[in-house]
Amino acid sequence: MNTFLSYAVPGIPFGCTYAIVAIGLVLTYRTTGVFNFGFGAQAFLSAYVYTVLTEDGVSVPLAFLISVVILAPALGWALDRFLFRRISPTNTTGKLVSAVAVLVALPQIVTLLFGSSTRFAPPTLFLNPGRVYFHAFSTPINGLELETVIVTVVTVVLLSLVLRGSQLGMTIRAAVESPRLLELEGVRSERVLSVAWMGSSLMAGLAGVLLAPQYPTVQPEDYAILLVAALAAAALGSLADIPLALVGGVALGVIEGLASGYFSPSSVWHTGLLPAIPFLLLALLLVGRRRLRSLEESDDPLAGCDPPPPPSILVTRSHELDRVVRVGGRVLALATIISVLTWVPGDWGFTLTSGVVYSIVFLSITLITGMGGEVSLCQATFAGVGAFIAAQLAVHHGVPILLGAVIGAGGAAVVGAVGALPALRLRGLPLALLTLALALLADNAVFPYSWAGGPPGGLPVPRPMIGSINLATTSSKGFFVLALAFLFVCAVAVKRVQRATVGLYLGALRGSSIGAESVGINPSTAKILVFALSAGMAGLGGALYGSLQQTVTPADFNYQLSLVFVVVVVTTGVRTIEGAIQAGVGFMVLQQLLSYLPGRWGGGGIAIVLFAFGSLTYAAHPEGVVEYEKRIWTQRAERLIHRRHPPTNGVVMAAAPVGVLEGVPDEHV
Amino acid sequence: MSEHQGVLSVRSLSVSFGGLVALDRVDLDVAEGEIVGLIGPNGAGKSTLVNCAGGQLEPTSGSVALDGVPLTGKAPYRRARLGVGRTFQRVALFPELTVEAHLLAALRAGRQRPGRWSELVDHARPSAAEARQIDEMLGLVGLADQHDTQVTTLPLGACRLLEIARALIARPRVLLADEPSAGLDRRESAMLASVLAQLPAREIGVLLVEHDLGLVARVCDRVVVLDVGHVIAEGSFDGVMETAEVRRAYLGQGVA
Ligand SMILES: Nc1ncnc2c1ncn2[C@@H]1O[C@H](COP(=O)(O)OP(=O)(O)OP(=O)(O)O)[C@@H](O)[C@H]1O
Ligand SMILES: [Mg+2]
Repeated sequence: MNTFLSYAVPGIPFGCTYAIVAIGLVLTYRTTGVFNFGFGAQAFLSAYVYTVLTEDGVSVPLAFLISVVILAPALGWALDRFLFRRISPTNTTGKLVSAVAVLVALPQIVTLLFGSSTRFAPPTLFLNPGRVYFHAFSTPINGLELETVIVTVVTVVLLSLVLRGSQLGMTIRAAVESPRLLELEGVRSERVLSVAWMGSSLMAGLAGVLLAPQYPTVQPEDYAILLVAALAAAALGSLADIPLALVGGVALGVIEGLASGYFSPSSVWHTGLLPAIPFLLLALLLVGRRRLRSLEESDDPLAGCDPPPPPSILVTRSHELDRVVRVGGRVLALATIISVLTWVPGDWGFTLTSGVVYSIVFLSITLITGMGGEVSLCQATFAGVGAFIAAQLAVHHGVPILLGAVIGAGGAAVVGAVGALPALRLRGLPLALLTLALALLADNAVFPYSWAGGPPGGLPVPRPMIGSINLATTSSKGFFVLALAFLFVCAVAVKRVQRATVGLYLGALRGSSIGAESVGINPSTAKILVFALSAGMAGLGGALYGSLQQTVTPADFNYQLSLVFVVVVVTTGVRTIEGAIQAGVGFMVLQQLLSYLPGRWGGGGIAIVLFAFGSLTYAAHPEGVVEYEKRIWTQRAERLIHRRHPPTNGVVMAAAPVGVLEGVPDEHV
Repeated sequence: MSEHQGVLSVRSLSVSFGGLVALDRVDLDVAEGEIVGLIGPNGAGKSTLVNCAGGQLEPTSGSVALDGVPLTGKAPYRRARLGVGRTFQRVALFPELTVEAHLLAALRAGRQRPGRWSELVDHARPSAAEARQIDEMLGLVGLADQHDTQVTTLPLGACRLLEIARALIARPRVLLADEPSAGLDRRESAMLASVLAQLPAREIGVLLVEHDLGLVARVCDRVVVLDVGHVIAEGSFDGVMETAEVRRAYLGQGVA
């Protein structure tokens, strides 16, 4: 019993921080309908600012005041006021993508502002971390642990006093219990939204500052784990129950404490299972809990569906303009290809080749998000599966890398299809959460093994040999051509699926899954298919990426990259093949251009932040901001042409939505 | 009344949502080529019954059968392939597809589904035979010249008629229509009535949930009246309208 407790007790402080963030998640989700992934990054931000301030000699209370009491709620207020409030409550994907953008952008902004030097653990708030205050069940309790528990208890007591004692608190509590009711009553006032956002952001910041001294350094990864643990805790309460979220958070900390105590540090369990516990738990809860599954369902068949994107400009633009744009596009593409093969210097050639390879990975997002209508947060993981299979086969079995890449793509497709099985009943937010859990599971419990992600120094990957031509020695131009050929094949495959009956079914399912099922479309086959194809394409891209880089490490395919991918592709257009190619090439070119900037500005962070901001427009323009701009320019060009030559064939512009879309607030402004 | 008979038969169907009993041991039959009206005040459980037949909702107890084959536990898409066609009280069209694409998807996914794997590569363009069926169906519901119209630009009435066409194109055995006339203007209502009237000749049974009693009186062979989950009357339209229970349910207490 005593060993049990002595293992359990050290888990409690961690559990407390999970619980605080979990409560914040439930609060905002139920009052505002937004599931804010960003809390992980917000916790990191407060912890980081607190650390920097104390390093600079600011006193602890003042640093706490600035980083937690002022900064955190201010950020929450701003996020609500300028971002989430503008998204229609029914636009599930829009809210999801925006929250992911916050999660991606904040750590990058921090690095841009403060540099990337290591920040060591900051001081605790008020107790001495080294001193043992007392023994609980013969386990020494130090100041750090005691302080975390005290702050958590005080927070929870204060919160319940506010929720019970004040008029505003009552309203928020009503919202947590029944958001629908509140909507009907019309009391979902702006004040309630602001207060909920500020309160829960404050809690995220608080959890961040409490957690910071527990790790040797302050880095974003630890806060991703905090986020997922909090997600699991919130999931235990079906994202609706504050006391259960509290219990769940603490329990998760205790379970982790027990696991790390009982599994010997050298065992597989300790290295593999322990870091994966929160993700496994989250995945199990998502699949197993009925209430979570039905989170996005409602009896209103249109409630969960986004406003449909306007028809692609390919459909609406006139024939003359269409010809001009098509020819122009081909000329530009051809000019780029010829340039790379002739005069473009090596580093730019490498950049453009990477762009082509990335385009293949991004086409997988066109499949899953553009066609499947679901947000996946584990596309980089699928790419990694393909890359590691190809690399391991090449290194250990002498399999030619191109064959290995195809096998890797197949392997990733299998993983995708198997991963889709538990996800069959999930849509929208729960599905995205499940893919995130999968990505983190792979990052922590699969890729670190040398049989998977290779030894710590990375796994060498050969360049392909075609006949007697070694694409490594004859410069990378050969590889560029090879990558283009693969991209072409993939693009044709995607186009083919888009135009096939399956593409029609997917279009139907995106619009109304209950309507689609009512005519005989099997949503499960469609979902498995789209997951498998998408994962396979990502795997192929990943394997080519490895071969291009000539070495792969797990860090090349971590979950953060998956988040960045989503943000990038959503910006350029998730619906079209061109969108994916623009995303791939654009992302790499932008990074290369920014790399000429001095110091930390050249680190690629700006590119990610720019795309994160770009993706924030997704909620209003689901076709992608680049596609949106294209439409605007096309219309301008058409007006110009028509002024000169009055139209011969009438161009039909899409009329305002009526009929089916009654009741769905129109987000197109 | 325990044997399953007719195209659609509902036996002792009960549904409760928590404490609320939405349907209580309801029996109902639709014979081939018969139009049965299902009427009753708001919240009577009409949509709940349709959802149980369509597979959108699993009943608490009781069963639904199509041509004598129990549908219990079958997913909605399976029921559709067996021959259950339906429309929704809140229109459930596919906002991204054109009118023609709606019918093509329903045709290919529905009862006469061609291959499995061909769906991956074939073109989503109607073949000559399919085009003929689509033309015929659009003609039937009065949307003949609207093949390439984006459904987001259609008025609500046309949406409801398109939804019916979508449900009918795969030649179902039974059509479950949940308040198809809601939001229709006079001309569209007349079109709806004429579409429904043609279904018996096609050997399709119809379960028509309606608030428009005029329409029910015109097209239905038989009427079932539901009130708070119970069948309170059944028979010809004029017959059921005479009964005291129905008058009370529709007009409230005090009228007897
Ligand atoms: N998903 C649900 N959860 C809880 N209660 C429900 C649910 N669906 C329906 N109900 C309740 O069941 C009862 C029957 O609802 P139903 O929608 O079948 O009525 P209806 O006869 O179709 O009414 P209307 O004419 O308004 O469409 C109502 O009291 C309704 O509130
Ligand atoms: Mg109803």
